[in-house]
Amino acid sequence: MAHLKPPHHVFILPTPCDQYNPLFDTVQSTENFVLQRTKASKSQFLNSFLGTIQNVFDTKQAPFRILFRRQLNAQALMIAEAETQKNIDHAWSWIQENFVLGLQVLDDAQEKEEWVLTKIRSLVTRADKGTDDITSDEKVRSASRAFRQTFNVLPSERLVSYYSCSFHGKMMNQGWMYISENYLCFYSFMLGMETKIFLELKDIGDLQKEKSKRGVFADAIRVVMKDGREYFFSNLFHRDETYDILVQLTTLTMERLLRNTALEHAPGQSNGDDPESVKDVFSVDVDSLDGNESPYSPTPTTRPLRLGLEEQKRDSQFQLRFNLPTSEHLMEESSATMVHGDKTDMFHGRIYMSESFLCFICTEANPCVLALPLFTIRRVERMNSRSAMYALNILTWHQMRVVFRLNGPRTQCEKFCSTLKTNLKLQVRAMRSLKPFLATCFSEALLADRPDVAEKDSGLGWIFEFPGDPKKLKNKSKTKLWLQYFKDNGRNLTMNKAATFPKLIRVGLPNKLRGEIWEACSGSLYLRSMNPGEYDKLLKDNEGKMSLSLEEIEKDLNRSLPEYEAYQANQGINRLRNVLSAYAWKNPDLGYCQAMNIVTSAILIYQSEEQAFWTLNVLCDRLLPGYYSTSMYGALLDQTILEHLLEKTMPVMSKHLKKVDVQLSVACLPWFLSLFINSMPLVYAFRVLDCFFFEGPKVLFQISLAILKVNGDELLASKDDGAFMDVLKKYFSTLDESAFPNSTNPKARALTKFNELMLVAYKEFESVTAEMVAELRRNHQLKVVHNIGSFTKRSQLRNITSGKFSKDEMSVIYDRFYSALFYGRSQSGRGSNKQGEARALDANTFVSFLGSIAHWAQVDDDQMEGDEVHPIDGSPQHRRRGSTSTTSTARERRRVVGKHFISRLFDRFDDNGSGILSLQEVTTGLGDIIHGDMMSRMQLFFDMHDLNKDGTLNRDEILGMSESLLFIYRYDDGDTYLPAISNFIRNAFEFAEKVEPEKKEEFVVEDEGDEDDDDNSKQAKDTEESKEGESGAEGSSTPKANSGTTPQPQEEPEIQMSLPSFRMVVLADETLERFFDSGFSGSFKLLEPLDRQRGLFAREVFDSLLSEGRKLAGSIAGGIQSRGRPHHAPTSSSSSSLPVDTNKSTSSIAEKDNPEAVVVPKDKSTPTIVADKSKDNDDDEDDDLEEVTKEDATEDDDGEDEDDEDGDGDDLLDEVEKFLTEFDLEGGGKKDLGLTSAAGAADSSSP
Amino acid sequence: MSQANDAAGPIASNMKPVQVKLVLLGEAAVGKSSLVLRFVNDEFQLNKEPTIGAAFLTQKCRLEDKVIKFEIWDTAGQERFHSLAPMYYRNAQAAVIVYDVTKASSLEKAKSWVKELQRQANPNIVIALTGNKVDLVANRKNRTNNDGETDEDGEQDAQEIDEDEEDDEDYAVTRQVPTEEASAYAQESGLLFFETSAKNGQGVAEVFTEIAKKIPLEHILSSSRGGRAGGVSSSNGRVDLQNGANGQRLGGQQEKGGCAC
Repeated sequence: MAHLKPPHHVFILPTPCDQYNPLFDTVQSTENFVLQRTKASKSQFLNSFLGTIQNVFDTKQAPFRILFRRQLNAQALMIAEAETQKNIDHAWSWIQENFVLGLQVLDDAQEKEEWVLTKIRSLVTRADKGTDDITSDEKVRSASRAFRQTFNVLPSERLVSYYSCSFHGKMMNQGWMYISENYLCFYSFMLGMETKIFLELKDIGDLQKEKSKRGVFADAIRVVMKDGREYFFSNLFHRDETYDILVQLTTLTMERLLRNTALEHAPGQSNGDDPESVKDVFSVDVDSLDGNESPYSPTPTTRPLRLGLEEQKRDSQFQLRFNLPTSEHLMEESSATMVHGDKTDMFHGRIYMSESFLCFICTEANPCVLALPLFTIRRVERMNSRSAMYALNILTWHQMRVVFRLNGPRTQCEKFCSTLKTNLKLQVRAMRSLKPFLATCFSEALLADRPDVAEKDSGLGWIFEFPGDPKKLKNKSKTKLWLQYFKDNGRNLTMNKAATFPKLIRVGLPNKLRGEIWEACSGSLYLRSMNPGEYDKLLKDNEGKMSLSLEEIEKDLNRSLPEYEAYQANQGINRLRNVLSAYAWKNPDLGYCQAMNIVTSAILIYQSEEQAFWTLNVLCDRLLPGYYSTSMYGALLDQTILEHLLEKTMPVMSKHLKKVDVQLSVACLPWFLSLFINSMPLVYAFRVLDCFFFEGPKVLFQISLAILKVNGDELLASKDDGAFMDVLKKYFSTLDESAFPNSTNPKARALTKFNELMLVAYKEFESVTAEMVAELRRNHQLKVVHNIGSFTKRSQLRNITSGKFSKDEMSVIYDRFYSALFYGRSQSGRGSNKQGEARALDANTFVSFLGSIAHWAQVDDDQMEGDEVHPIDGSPQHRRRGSTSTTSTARERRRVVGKHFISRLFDRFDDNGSGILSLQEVTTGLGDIIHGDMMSRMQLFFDMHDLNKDGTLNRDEILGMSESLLFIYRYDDGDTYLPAISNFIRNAFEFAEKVEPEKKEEFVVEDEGDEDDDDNSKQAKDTEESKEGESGAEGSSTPKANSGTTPQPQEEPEIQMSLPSFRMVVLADETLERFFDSGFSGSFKLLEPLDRQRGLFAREVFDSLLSEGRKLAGSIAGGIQSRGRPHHAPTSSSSSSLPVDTNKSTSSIAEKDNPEAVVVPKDKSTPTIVADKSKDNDDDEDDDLEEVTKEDATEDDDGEDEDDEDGDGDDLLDEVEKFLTEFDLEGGGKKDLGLTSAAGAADSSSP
Repeated sequence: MSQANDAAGPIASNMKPVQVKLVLLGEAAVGKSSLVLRFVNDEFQLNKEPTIGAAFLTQKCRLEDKVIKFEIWDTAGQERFHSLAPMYYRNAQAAVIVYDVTKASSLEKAKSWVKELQRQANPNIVIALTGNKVDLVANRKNRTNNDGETDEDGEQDAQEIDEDEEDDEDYAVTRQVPTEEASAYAQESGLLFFETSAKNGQGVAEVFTEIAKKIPLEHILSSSRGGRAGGVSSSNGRVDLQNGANGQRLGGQQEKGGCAC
């Protein structure tokens, strides 16, 4: 049996459901399958009523479904569902075709079921790779379908979650909120009223938790878009969860957005590198959330995206808490009690396990944190001691004993133990690198009592002295304290951060231990120990390569901490160069940012190159995220937060600054970027660093606020930023002076201003916690990112030559341009992110860009439909003749035409032939079209279709042109274009071939297509004549017909049309003239909204009407033609017959080289003709047309006889009339369809 | 009102200096900081601290009978700091846009800064276009070095590693931006134009003096310090009154102005 393509997007993973559902009627059934439709689709009233019920209680159900009857089980399995009868019918026939025979062979019920299910599954998973249709959670699956169909988004869009909630519009609408990767949507259907809200996550400017019902219930979220629109949703039962998901998704979106519009692109990338070979470091790969390893893995199902997101969030919290590398994932956790060392103290808290760490955190008054790499564990014993069933007695590498008692249910503990066992085994290999690693830790040397041995690989301070006076810094006694601490609590990798740890940090670290303890605090110690050799490899692999970042680094090497001796010599400079370059190679998106040199040069005094490299990693990726990125959004974000905190804690100061118009960040930004290193004297800056590495970025806020507080009086007296800066400069230079020089208390006198500062920071700004900072960052990030976005936009637009576009128009072009890039990236971004194209459109993104400003360019919609829509008369043998072509092939063809047209437009725009379009190229290209004159547009079309570039259009090229025109016109509601295009073809051929200005053979139309015309003349006539002939054509043409044209079907006539005659032909037709004059340029909608979606349903309905109409019209046309008696033809049908003829001619022409082409014009024009009849009978043109038709018809008799049908005039009339009424009815309804419910739409589509 | 607390020397101790906010912009490593340093301290510093965000310096300058206190915001040149620039050129009355005469691309960047300022900044801002590093091309020894990379280092070192004759020999490079071209551009865009060498001090003082001359000082004086926000243009109401006052106070001697530093 000929292959009916299996209808995709109809079949779903088999889902159990009740066969006898009160809401469904059975339409057809066989032994194994049942086709059902909702009752709702029958009556409008029931429809709205049931719609409401379904809306309130459940997600929307598709009106049609196919069930598989299980013989083993009363419950049936739903295997397909569809919105329209057409789709379901197709699926039904496919099932009949493919399953029935197979099922007959199988006897066993079980076997049957398995066979069917396997087949369906493979069908679905193959078609829907990576989409929600194969997610393992069936609720998500169906909700996702409902979501995607309701909002007409791409099948690849993945639903994250959906919630019942109310939207406060003009009235309260109870409905469903859908949250997907890119969108936040709301749908409600209440008693016939449909509410749809479709928001792009990337445009969300703010999210606020709110209270509803006069502030009583905390169940609402307010969404503020960046353009100020606000949406209020309440009745959210899981408000906080919803909020968190939204925050998480918007954060991911923002990161993508930042990359998308970054000012610079991957500056750290090697100049010689193939851009595509560099992998995107920042990208959060959605695929990785799926738990789906290989892209080719046959895994039948995907996990719901939401689970992935939740996991990701849990993991990142876990990593953050213990400063672990991002490669660690939380595997087990349990409540536990720890006994550390020989002490008897018990710590109650929680124990966590990841791939290579065992972590414990004590939540009680006596805090302690331990993150033990598994490869530092020498031995684990399970003790079955008295108090606890499960106790793990762990001996660390440093001979420290730690006991964990697991307090949890038995099964949980067992699972924990067995995971531990597995993980330990996997870590055995890592233990080998432990010894060499520990040799680089100064704490080992210290404990081995050879503290003065300079380690082979240590900070510059070992060679060039450490800054500050060691005596004054009490270096010795501090070292002693730490020695004791190491003995009690372990060291480096196995160190437990006990209660005394923060105190030891705050008094300042001893010089030689400083580097190592920074590592231990920040977690870079783990990174270094787990990635031995990576640093050297990075440098070696990239040796000799150059990049923008490297150039920038080179410029700054001499200017980094120049007062420190080491940086006046090669030794220091080289180390600095190595570390900065290695980081730039590791993270080319970030590359190098000024300020990193300062921070790194400071760190290098205490740390070796490798240590510093990993510390820099932690710094840029975790502690100061986004600070040094190309947009520096992190730094800007934290400045916003600082301002916010200032307002909260020191309102007077905040007001004063506003009053005198001083921007806080003018002073504070450098503090944050260079971690006070070039603001404070070095000795103090390192003290700040000590705290910073241990406590994180909140310290920066605390200290900044304290600085402002301490200098409050003077700052309040400052009236401008200059004075402001002076106060602070002076303050920093006197940090070592006594804070209370006049105090009688010698102890107070001994306090330096720095001591005072730290006291104020910790005491008065205790309330600034890490959580608070994290939360504030979340709350402000959207605004900051959008600010950066609008800044980038402004500065980019400034550099664009905008031609005649207004500011607003340019703004729209910019937005659409980057929107196309944004979504284009996210799609292709699954797997491969092409860096080189970050700021330019490629062929694909250009299509979506064009689609966003011109309706006709929305090819992708067609594609979607094309996949989905298949002929009603499912079985192939039904569609024999070309005249009843299948919708899908027609569509396919049209899509090809469209793609070609757009890609030629792309080439046109692409001035430099780079294969990508910059914003400038797009602007210029669009400007030429929109602001050019009619002549230039005609030239454009001419050039675009002159494929062989010979300056003339040959026959195929002319046909190509007409197809393009049809393509562009295809969404037009009017129908005048069909006769126009047929005129075009006719005239084009006429003028192209005629040598002599005879004005007759217009009706060449008919034949020139396949037969006639051996005389290939160049474009013949001069303008006037042609025009005359043109306009006269329709009316007068009758007599001449046969003269020039001799039907010779076999021969391909060569015709060529030059630009002038093309112009002529265009100008001869009012519609075409209008098209080139204003129609085409007007089709680009920049300022007015594009009626983007007519709704999938509406179009499907329309299509099904078309295919019905097509059959009819086909027969009508055939009838008319074969009849060949013009006077019989009623007016109504005559106007229709012309296009049909044309159509035929084009198709037959095309047939020769491309059988598919037949389909196009036929399919396209025929139904529209019908519309023509119903609406436009009175057009003046019609009269002319009528006559032509007669001609044509007559001619037809001579020329061709391919239409088999011999219509009887009367019967035909009846048929036409019948059809017309039908069409009119439905056609009238069609415009509303977009607004009525899916069920409603489906209803009207069913005959 | 004004913060004349840093020693202004004996100059005009009897009059309040007029504060002028000036911002330096330009591509990275064209010598913005060096230019300021030459102007403020008359020195060419070895291994100067890099500019993070922006550095703030002040310098007083005597012009005719007025004293002008330049508040100089020396911004970081790296592209990614670009988005911070509005923070600094906001309310600026003057801008020095620096490019490197040995690097054609730096003039392009300068032009884009000009565009940005003309659209985004105070409408009355006085803009000076300054081609720096003329010392590199002045005594060139025809050792043309067209290799971009070496070029780069060359300039850099020449800038930073003090005035060393031997170095000069090695680092002499070709001029990539002809004076005429930049000058024509400046004229057409209504900018002041200079060529300078921060290294040997050539032309540096003139930049600031000329700016000082061109700035509508009376307006600045008149607008209250706090209200600088709206820029010079916003406070027209008060201008006339105080203008007269200023005129009286400052008018008179028309000696040639010169930089007091």
